[in-house]
Amino acid sequence: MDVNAFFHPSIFFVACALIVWMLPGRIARWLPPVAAALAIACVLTMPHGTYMQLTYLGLGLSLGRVDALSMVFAHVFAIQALIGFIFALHVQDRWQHMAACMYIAGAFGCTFAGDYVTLFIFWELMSVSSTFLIWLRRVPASTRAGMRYFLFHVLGGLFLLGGLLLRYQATGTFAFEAADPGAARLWDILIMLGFCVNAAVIPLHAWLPDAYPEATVTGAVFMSAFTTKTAVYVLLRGFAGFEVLAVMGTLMTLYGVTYATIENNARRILAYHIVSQVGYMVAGVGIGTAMTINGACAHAYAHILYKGLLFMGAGALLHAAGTAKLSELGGLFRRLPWVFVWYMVAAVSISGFPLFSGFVSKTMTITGAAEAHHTWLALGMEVAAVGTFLSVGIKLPYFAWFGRPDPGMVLKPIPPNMYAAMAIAGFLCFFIGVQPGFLYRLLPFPVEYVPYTAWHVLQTLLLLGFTGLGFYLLRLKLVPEAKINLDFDYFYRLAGRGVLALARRPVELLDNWWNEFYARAGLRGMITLAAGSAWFDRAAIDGVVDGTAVNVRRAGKTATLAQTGQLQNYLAAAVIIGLIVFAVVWFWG
Amino acid sequence: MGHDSKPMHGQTGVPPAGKIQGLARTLRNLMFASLGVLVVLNLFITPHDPHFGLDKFPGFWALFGLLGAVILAKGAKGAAHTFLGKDEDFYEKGSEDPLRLWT
Repeated sequence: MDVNAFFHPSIFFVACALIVWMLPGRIARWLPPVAAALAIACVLTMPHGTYMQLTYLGLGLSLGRVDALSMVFAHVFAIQALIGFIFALHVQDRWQHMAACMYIAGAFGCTFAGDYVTLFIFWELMSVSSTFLIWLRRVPASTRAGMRYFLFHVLGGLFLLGGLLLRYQATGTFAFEAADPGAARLWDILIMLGFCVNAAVIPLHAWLPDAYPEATVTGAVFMSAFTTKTAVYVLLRGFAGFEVLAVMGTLMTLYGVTYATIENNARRILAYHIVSQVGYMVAGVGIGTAMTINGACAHAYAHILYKGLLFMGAGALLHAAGTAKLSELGGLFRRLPWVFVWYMVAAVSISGFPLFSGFVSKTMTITGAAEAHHTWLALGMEVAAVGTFLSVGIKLPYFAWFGRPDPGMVLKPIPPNMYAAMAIAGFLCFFIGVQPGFLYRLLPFPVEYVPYTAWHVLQTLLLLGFTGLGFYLLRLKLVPEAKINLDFDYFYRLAGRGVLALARRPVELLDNWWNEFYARAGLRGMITLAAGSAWFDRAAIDGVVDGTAVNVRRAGKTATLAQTGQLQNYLAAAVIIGLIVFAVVWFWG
Repeated sequence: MGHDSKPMHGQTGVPPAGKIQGLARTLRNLMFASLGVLVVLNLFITPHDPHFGLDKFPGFWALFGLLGAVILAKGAKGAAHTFLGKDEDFYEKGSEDPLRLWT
């Protein structure tokens, strides 16, 4: 095997993050698109095979498994990385670029991981760096949302870690291979739960609509592409044919569109549509036939491009108007026509209109489900397709760009790089829609499905056309309201508050009691002792070792300054130290 | 690209309301007409392999789309108006008392 033929794309992004760290933001921002372009070249020239196998702490690790399945995802990850960094080119904050680079490095690492230890390391790198994409918006709401996001992903990571350790104990291997749906063991379930957290499978999904709307404008574009789709990839790799995923996936498609129909914040509507669209992929994984697995891969590919574009459109609205709430927007068509055009390209793509990318991928999954005799699942997914067009294809654009007269808010200009990124993504959505062969050639199984038959086109137009009629009849009922909707995050907020209450009541009680005891019994003795030792200290010690006390105090002060007490600093430091240790072992181990 | 940062209310470029209403009426009639054409086409173009009984009848997917949209919209809005919808500061105002969420 030719080791030189494979160059791990994560290396570009980690190197880029380190260089960006040392440069001022106005120069640093030009580097990530270069890293992404290099990654695209690297992925396009990559031959199939297994590369970068090494022994680390006595474990055989495999960092470079390249086959048809990992190639589909690596291909679109590289393209979306370039589009995302072009969209973020105006951002002067180098920390945001660093976080995005590390996040994408993690996604590539997971995609090529051949064993669970490697997967886990890159998995956690993704969850830490994506947390920074939320925090770096630097508003109180995003700080809180980022904390909830991080804690929930720690939980998912622990499921994964517990599962892979139990599995190692029982089978003696960390190799990341497909589990047998007929003989799933406890560790398989735990690993699958860990994956399901990141795939936003209900009821483990609430972190997504909670956190994504609070991320930075550009961070949300990256996050919409990588976290859930990496999870879809590992589910495809490990858990194809698990019936429970087929049912949960279909429920996700319906759950997501139901919430999207009543949401007010544009970015939260789009976040619920990630849950819904990833549902199609999870259902495809669960049904597990060649056609639905192809469908899941194709839909992931198409979805990354159009969902990124939707978040770019909503992000451009937020950037210009300062709000993404539909109840505060309206009538912006005359002032932001190009944002509208590119948004609509993505909206018809996600809705699965003929000539656009969703049509060639979504119908493949649904037809695959029907042909595998999962009629109810196929019907559920058709209802979700109706809801998709209703909420993201009509409701959101209607109330943001038309709906009511322009409220006359002052708009911040949108930088040209944002338009350029939207144009590239929009072109790709259209290109895949008219040239599905480009996408189908990448898929892991040979494709027999023909999307452009007279019946498929007519069926889609009937379904979506009459959805439009439904909206027309109910347009006054669907006016967005300045409200939020309860979701499963209610329960984990409750758990957090429960811990707080525990800290407040019993622990506070114990603390008070101890203070009281200490003040009465301990203090008098201590004072006497202290007086004696202070005399000894002054008279003897400092006399012998002059100046020690002063130096210790100075060192203590430095250590205090390093400990800011802010979790994000500790977290960043931990990642950097981890990377340095990894690099040292890698080169000299 | 096509936008500027000036507020635009009260300026002359906006067409008069009557013209917009006329345009809206034309668009609506166009929509009804094209939906009609689609249903007529459905009489002649039918599924090559119907997956369950009902989808072989012309107009099935039209009805499916319309009913799906109406039921979804009504159901979701109903849920939002009864138990899901809360004020925007719902989570903030409860933060003083940890157990407030129970009530």
